[in-house]
Amino acid sequence: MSEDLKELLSREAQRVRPAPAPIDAVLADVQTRVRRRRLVTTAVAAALAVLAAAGPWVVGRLGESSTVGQPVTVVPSDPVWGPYRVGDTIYLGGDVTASNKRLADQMARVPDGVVYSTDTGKVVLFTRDGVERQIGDHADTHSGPIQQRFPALASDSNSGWVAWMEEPAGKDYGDIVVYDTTAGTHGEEVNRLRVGFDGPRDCGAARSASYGPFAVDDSAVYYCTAEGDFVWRPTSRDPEPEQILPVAGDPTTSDDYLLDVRNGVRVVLRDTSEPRPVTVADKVGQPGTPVVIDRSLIDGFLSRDGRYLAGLREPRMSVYDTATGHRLPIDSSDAGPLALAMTFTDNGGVAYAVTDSPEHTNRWAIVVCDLPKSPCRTVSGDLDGGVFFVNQRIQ
Amino acid sequence: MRRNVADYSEFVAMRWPSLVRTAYLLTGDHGHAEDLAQSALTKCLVAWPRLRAREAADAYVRKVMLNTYISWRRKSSWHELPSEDPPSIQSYDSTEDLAQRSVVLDAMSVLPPKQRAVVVLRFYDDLGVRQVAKQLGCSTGTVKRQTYEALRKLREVMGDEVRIASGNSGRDEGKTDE
Repeated sequence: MSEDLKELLSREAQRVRPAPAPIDAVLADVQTRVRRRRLVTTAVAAALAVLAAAGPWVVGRLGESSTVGQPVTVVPSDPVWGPYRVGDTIYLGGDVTASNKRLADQMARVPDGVVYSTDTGKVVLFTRDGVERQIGDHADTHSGPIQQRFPALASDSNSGWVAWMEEPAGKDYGDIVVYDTTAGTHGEEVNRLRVGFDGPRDCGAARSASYGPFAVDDSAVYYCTAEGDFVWRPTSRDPEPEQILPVAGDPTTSDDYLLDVRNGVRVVLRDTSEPRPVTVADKVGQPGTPVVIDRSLIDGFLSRDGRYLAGLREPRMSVYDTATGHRLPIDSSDAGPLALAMTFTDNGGVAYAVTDSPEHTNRWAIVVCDLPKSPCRTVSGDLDGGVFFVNQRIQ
Repeated sequence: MRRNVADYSEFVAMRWPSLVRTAYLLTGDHGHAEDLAQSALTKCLVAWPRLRAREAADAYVRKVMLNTYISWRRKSSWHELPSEDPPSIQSYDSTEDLAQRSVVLDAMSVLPPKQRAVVVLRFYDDLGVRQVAKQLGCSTGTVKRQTYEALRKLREVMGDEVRIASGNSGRDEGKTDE
């Protein structure tokens, strides 16, 4: 018997008897997301202040009442700089400390302090001289795709540029804002670019961060929209954005996403579907060395010099040398089976957080490794679950 | 967003069965299908204030669902999808139907996610090449190539069990986008 494919599919589909439409569940899901964001930012309530660079490490926990718990002091051999995030937890490292101010799900290091965003959508510059100044308002309604985006801020710690997307309520566009934290007394806005949201691409396919800027490098802002990945040079004579991916006229690049750009090194997540996704590191203008990975590297990002590519590859983290394409022999299995967040450190290493709990609630540890090869060491371990912070001094 | 909840609820109630059925053909699993459709609708609610026309909402939610499906498959998390309500026998008409389902769905399971999406969009949702290209964010040439590859593989698996009319493709190519 021969049957038409269309008839077969229709008949197959009609066999399904969908349950009643889960309207309440969908509404609850959205409300939960918003509530979770607020809980996080409330729990991590703390104020920024300046910490002596050579101070001891402090590990503590912040309770849901937004009060600072009893700190636990550890003294590692090397300082590690954050910020980075594990689930709903923000880790801070290096010369930043906090007390009594709301921090949101993102911070960015700049030469003279930090920039952070709040749960109410404010973008705040906090400088070493203790001055706080609101410099942006990225999403006061959470009405668009920006609420899915992490991190909310893209930055270049060398130049002091920070970029984010502002999303006016009820509009079908957003504005990418670029701010130079080193200009003037307390920084100045460099430029802004209006972008639409419509298009077929899902920026979340390449990174947890979704629509908007994800990298700032060499006076250029790299951002993802539903139409493609673009580079925008806001101070150039011709500040029109240039589309990088997908390459015009090349349908094979429609599933490619730019992962990160640092020091001129671009990393492209190449989805060939078959046999497996491939990540390629390209030096701008030059063919790069393929970095072949056996699965998609979620949230892959480069070290500041572009030499290393790191990313989560559950259950572990992985680091690749972008010059050789080789994976570095970093083993996170000693401290715990699940690596959940990482950051490159100022001294050329990498730090990451691990837990032995799939629910991400128990026994956290922070591990620091030298690159290009181990040894790795645990600088803090057996931390309780909940929200805690690293290397902060309580004022 | 709150003032649009009533309007959105009406949209969900109307589109839910169709979305679940499309999702079922994509995933081959009733529980995954409902998860996928619900995830797409959640994302759609986020964007609801800027989806003025109902036609735009239809296209948007389908596009989101396809992206989510391909993204889940890409991240290899397909087998870890949360499913509070595992598929049950009550989801289908009868045990006999349940046994027969494997013919076409098993054949579809050999297809990569994008090829499977192309087959569902073209042969179930009855979209034209250009519409499929727009939904998937690729060129019409890619859609034609993926269709060709998908049908070739289905023929290999299903043999004479199914007649895959090439004329269907030709008819669709003449369609214009909405």
